[in-house]
Amino acid sequence: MTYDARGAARGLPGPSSTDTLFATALLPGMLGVVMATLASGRPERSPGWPALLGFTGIFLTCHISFGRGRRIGDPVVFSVVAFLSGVGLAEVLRLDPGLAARQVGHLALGVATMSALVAFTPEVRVFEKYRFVAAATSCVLLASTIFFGVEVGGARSWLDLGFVAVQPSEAAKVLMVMFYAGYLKDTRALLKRSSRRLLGILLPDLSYAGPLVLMWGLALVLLVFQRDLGAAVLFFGVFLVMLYAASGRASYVAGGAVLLALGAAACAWFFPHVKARFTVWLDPWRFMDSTGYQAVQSMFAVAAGGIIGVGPGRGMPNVIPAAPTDFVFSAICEEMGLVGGLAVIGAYALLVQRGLFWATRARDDFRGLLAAGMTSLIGLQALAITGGVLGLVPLTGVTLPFVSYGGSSMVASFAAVGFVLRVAREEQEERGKEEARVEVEG
Amino acid sequence: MKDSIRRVTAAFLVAFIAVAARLAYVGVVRAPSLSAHPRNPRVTAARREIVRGSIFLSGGEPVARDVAPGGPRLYVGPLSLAHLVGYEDARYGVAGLEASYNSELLGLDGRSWLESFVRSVFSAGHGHARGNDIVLTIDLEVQQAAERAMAGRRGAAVALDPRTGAVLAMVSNPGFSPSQISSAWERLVEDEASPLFNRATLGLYPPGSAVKPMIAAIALSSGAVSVDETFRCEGAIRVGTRAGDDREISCPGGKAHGNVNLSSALAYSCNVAFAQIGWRVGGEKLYNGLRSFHFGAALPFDVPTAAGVITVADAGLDRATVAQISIGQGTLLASPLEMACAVGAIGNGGVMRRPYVVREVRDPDGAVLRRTPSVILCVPVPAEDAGLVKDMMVGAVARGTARAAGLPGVRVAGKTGTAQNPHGAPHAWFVGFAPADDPRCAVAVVLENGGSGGAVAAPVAREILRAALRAASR
Repeated sequence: MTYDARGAARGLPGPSSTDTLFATALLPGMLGVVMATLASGRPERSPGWPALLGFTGIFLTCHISFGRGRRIGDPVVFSVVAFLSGVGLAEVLRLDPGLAARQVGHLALGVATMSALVAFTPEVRVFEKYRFVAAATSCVLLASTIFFGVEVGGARSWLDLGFVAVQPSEAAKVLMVMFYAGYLKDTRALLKRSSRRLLGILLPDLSYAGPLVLMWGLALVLLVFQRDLGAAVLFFGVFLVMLYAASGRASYVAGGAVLLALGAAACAWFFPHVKARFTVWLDPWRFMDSTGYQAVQSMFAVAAGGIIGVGPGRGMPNVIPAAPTDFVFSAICEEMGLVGGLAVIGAYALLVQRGLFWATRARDDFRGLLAAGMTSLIGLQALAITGGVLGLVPLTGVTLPFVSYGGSSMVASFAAVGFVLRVAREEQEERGKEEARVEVEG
Repeated sequence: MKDSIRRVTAAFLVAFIAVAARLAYVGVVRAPSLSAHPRNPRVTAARREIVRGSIFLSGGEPVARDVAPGGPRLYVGPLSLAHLVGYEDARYGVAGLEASYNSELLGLDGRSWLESFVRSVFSAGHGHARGNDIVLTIDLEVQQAAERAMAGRRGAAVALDPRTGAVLAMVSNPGFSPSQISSAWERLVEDEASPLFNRATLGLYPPGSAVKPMIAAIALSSGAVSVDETFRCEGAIRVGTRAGDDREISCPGGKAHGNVNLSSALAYSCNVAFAQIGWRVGGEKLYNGLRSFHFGAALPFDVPTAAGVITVADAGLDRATVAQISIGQGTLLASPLEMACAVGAIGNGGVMRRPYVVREVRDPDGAVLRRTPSVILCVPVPAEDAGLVKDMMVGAVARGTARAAGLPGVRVAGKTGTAQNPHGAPHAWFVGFAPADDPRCAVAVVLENGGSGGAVAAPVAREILRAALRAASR
């Protein structure tokens, strides 16, 4: 039996269908880049052409080197990432052609990171051993910005390394998910078995609830010292999702959400910049000349797009501050319309569904929790910023994974997906071996 | 763990659906209002490229149009249209119809984006984008006649077709030149005569005796007064209730009208009789009757209108207040547009039509996007009571105080008013309609501190009615 036939038997796509899938995913981005380039003032000198070449080259190389997508773990996830990267590159190029070359560089670094994780990781389980190292590194990275960080846009989350500025919290997020997976695998059984009740709610033993409180504290520290509402929500949110995945206890999530709400309320009470996020969310129009300016401009942009958008390069998304980073989704909605916006949201939904699917398939708890955590990290981040720019939830300054301009977040997002793909690939390989064994024995 | 992860998956999908729904809501449902928002930078940018739609009178005469894409705006035609048409200025913004129809004139709505896109693809070489045009119900000749008759006088005049509510002419004096708004701004805002203020829709005046047709109609429809009843007028009547409260209402010059019925009371504008009529009706019915004529509430209209005033003390309307309101004084205030609509309702068999001045919105190719329907706003009194009051008003023009409004060969119904006010000489009023039995035009004229309504306002109204009837017979 050939590999392909076995793959087909397991419901995996054959090479021709992975090619089609990949091409379909790549096309919108390529088209967007071309349209944005043609709409610019001097298309013949535009950095759009080299960007198009670079983008296509990076993903095509990756696609081909992983057996035309078959050995990438999950060609659907890979294609979704290619789609999002392409749409993001097109919009970043359109917003600021000067950023295009760097963004292609970020994509190259990200794809390289992802490929390395899928191809060269001996076994994902090795990371389990280093869970405490991961936690410590994560904390050090976060602490580094508290002491050496520079403030950008109200949040103190950047580290200036001289030649390049990085956001250590991006790497810290991924490392922290790794730690959560290890920790929750250890305590899973104990978390599920709880004896105490308070007000009718099952409580875990205090020793096991400790980390929950610890994570809550960490989120607050992030809020207070880094003024980074987005990172705080993500760190704690991903932890809650993973805690639920591991324990199946909704009461933990409810308790955690209450803790988060209390913490946020306290912060809003003490810190004007946190409070502003909430007041603007409740009524952006009242603050449209000050703190609500971004939110209102974002709404204007989304409204301008209508159903099919005004077309790449034809709108005015540049009037939104931080359009290439935090507000890239509003810019996409303006120029690619409801259709483009829904495609992006749908892509994340598909990514999350696939990632969590592999989490359920995993026969090892660490692998499952890792896939679930990394997937949730991307899913929550996408929800936070798309919901934020649409005024559905308070704005948190997080990037849109794979789409927003920015190196640190790009590499971190690709790394997260790299872990998911690695888990998927290991599951397939193990199942493949078993089937082969069955065949030989049979 | 599988089950809990599946539930996490479901929760994520629900959240993504919520975001998608929100996107559809902002991008489609709220898009029209957001895209036309005056603070949307896209609106200002679009203005620089677009040929703003023109404004036409009912005969097709342009009164406002763009000289070139992005302006400047050229205003032609009667200067007296300045308040109604308004202005569009890069620095001072928009006013009048230019403001209330801003998004239509910029082509920001009226047609779906997809439709415009398809059109732009199939009709290449259209050049600059064009906004939609609006066509008014204003008749050039009626407007010019009103402008001439009002020349040099401070006040306002409104003429409308009571059968439809279509406004035929609207003048507010003093006026301004919309083309010179930016150069004259400082002077205009500081002028104590308030030339930028649209008196026709926003000015609130005590209507004086001009409100008596409405009071008479209310009295008849309430059943409190019959046509044959007479009231005793000795030139003045005491309205105070308490001992020592010697306030009284008198007829002009203290003239005693003797025994008058409703018809004579209206024809000779007998205040003493109307005070008694008001008492007979009673405060509550009088108040409700005036509310049913839309007094005390802003009229729905194409440019902003002021809500009139009927002030009622907590204890209700006392005897003196009822008497005052019955002769259009005291706490009753109304705009000229409101008075024209009210008197039009009497002419139109007791049916008040919603006033409107924009007949239709047209796309750049001339196709009608939206036509304003004529709708009934309210029915304050039954047709027969309105008919009775109409005959009394004909009497007022034929033999009473409103003789100066008479036109040869036409039965004109009218009522004058000379409204006392704290700002000096009384405001001169005339309200009426013609032809009385099938009115084509209802008119309200107020001349601030003009003096006697019969002497000053009635001749102005006559000229407007004359022009309107000539226009109607075209």
